[in-house]
Amino acid sequence: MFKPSLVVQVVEEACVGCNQCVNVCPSGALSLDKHRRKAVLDEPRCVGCMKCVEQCIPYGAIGIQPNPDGRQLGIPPEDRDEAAVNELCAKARLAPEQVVCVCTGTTASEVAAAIADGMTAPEDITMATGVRAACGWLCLTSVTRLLEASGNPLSRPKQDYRIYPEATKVAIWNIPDGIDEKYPEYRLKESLDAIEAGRLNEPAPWLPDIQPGRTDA
Amino acid sequence: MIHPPQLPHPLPPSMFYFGAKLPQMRAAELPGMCSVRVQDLFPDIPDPIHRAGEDTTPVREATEAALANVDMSMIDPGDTVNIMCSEHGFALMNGDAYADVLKTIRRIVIERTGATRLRLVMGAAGTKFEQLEIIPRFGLDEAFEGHVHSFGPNDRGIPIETEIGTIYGVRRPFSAQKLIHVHYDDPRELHFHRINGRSLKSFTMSYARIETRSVFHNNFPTRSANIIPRAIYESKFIRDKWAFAAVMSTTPAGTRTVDADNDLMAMDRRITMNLLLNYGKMIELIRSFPDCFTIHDDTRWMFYQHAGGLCACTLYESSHDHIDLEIPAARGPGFSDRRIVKDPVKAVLINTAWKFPPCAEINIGADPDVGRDLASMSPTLPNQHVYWGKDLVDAFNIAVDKAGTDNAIIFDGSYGAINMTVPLAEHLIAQAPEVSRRFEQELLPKYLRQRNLTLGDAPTLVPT
Repeated sequence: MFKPSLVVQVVEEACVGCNQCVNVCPSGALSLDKHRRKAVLDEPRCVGCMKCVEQCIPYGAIGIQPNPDGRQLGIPPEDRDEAAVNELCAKARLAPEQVVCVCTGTTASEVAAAIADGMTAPEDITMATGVRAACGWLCLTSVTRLLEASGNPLSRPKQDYRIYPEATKVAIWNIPDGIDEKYPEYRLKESLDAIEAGRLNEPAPWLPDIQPGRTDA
Repeated sequence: MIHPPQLPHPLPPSMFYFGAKLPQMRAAELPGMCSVRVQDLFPDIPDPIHRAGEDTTPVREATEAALANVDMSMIDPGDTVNIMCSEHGFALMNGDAYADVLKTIRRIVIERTGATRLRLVMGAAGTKFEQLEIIPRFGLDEAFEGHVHSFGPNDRGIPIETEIGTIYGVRRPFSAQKLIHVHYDDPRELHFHRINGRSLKSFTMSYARIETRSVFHNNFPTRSANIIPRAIYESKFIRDKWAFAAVMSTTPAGTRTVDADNDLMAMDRRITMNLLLNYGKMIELIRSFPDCFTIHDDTRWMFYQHAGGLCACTLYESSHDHIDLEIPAARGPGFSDRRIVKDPVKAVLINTAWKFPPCAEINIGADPDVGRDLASMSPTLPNQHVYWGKDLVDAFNIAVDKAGTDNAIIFDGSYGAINMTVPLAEHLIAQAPEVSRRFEQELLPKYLRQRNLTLGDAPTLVPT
């Protein structure tokens, strides 16, 4: 569960209608009024991530204010279709309890539940679960993998640079033949085997001679 | 071997600090603090040419010497040239050395090639607001005649066709006819680069779009993720634009030298050797820490603040041997541990740091302003606690109580020495000989073997 603490506001007189804020908004809260060439905010959709404020540095047309009434973003366990969630997560190679967005604490099962409920747009999934509602730098592929697993892979027009779907497909399980042999230093086949065998996160042993008394080996 | 605390370099003002202010007291001034010199712990760490606050002339001379061996004939006088850099370099030892490297590269490229259309393109770490402080502080606008551009991972992208698929970079840094990649080799985020392509990391973080960052972190285990920046570097797109790379080479004692090469992978082998030889024992020593708490007292986010040349994240992630490439990952697909601060760190005390949500279970602000700021940010963990003292001394006592230990280390940007409490100093001094033996006899041979290197390569790769 994630509760936004800020909300942005557009300063119309400073807005030059460049559309850059629209292109970074993870929740679809901003759009451009093409006739007036002004950004328009759908305030209830703002998750307070400040990406638009950052993008607007040259113009300062977007301000921030506290959002004490921000609603919780997240899907409680009782509202998730567990069978559908587990099936989607397995296809996407994600553990349902896995936290896929470190900033907001959103789990794979929450994202899968939103998709199982029929959502196909990442912006709607953000509004439902909180995923991508903060820094948004690392969590995107959990969403695109689950969308692909649902049979609704993300697609976007080329000029829309909120997300480049084709750039989310690179993965160790999609590496073309011959790359492992060409770049052996990255141990691609070994690592893929470890993933498939569930041995990825085996901890390194503690060193008994310099860790006297540790019991968490 | 136990010395009085080493007072850290003065902090610059910043809009990003908790409490929106500079501290009244530095953590090194706390009663009971001492320092341990890294070269006392490990005498084989070489002397530096520069540390925070010192004259940067040796860095400039090292840059000039390194560039003398670099071919610049591919740069034509009419070419646009992007000098690519990253925010973190300006956090190292007050940033003066990295800024000097960048300015020197610009001057020499102009002298040798006749090119005049040079731009500094700076990758943001947190937000593009960083440019508002970094560019004026180091006089970069003047040095680059106004041609300084900051960019972030949400900016418009550019597709890069590689052997492993289409990868997106940020358009701005790559929008030039020739590219010069200027980096640093402190082992920040060792748990991600694994000293297996340290100098490549910018291509999947600093210069990369959100999609690329995400596939790097989620679609590959850490041992294998560096195939992504390698594929970018090897792509025709980059080969057509590539000029050379330079790196500010460091040790736990300070700036060691500057290196440069037309072949990034050749330079990366030298970086690998430097990191193993000159940081390896310190990293292993960090892995021997007993239960402790950390005190943060520098610019930047807490996990990127330094002590003895190592970022705090090295300690937070010390439960795994990230240099050992036999271990596939402690992060990556299937990763379910969201904690940023892990054992043996029991609490985090913030005197000064750039704002970031609290990420330890026990978080303590040095005073009410810092504490309230911490508490106002969304927690990253369930059962997370935020406390604060009436001042730093009071907060320190709270930390001792909550963490259940008086072992404390200060991350205040120090190189050459680490400030800490006396019990922790005594522990580290006692551990150092065994760490040194173990590293030299058992770990280093394994680490080198895993990277197709031998000790015999050392004199060539890292001349003393």
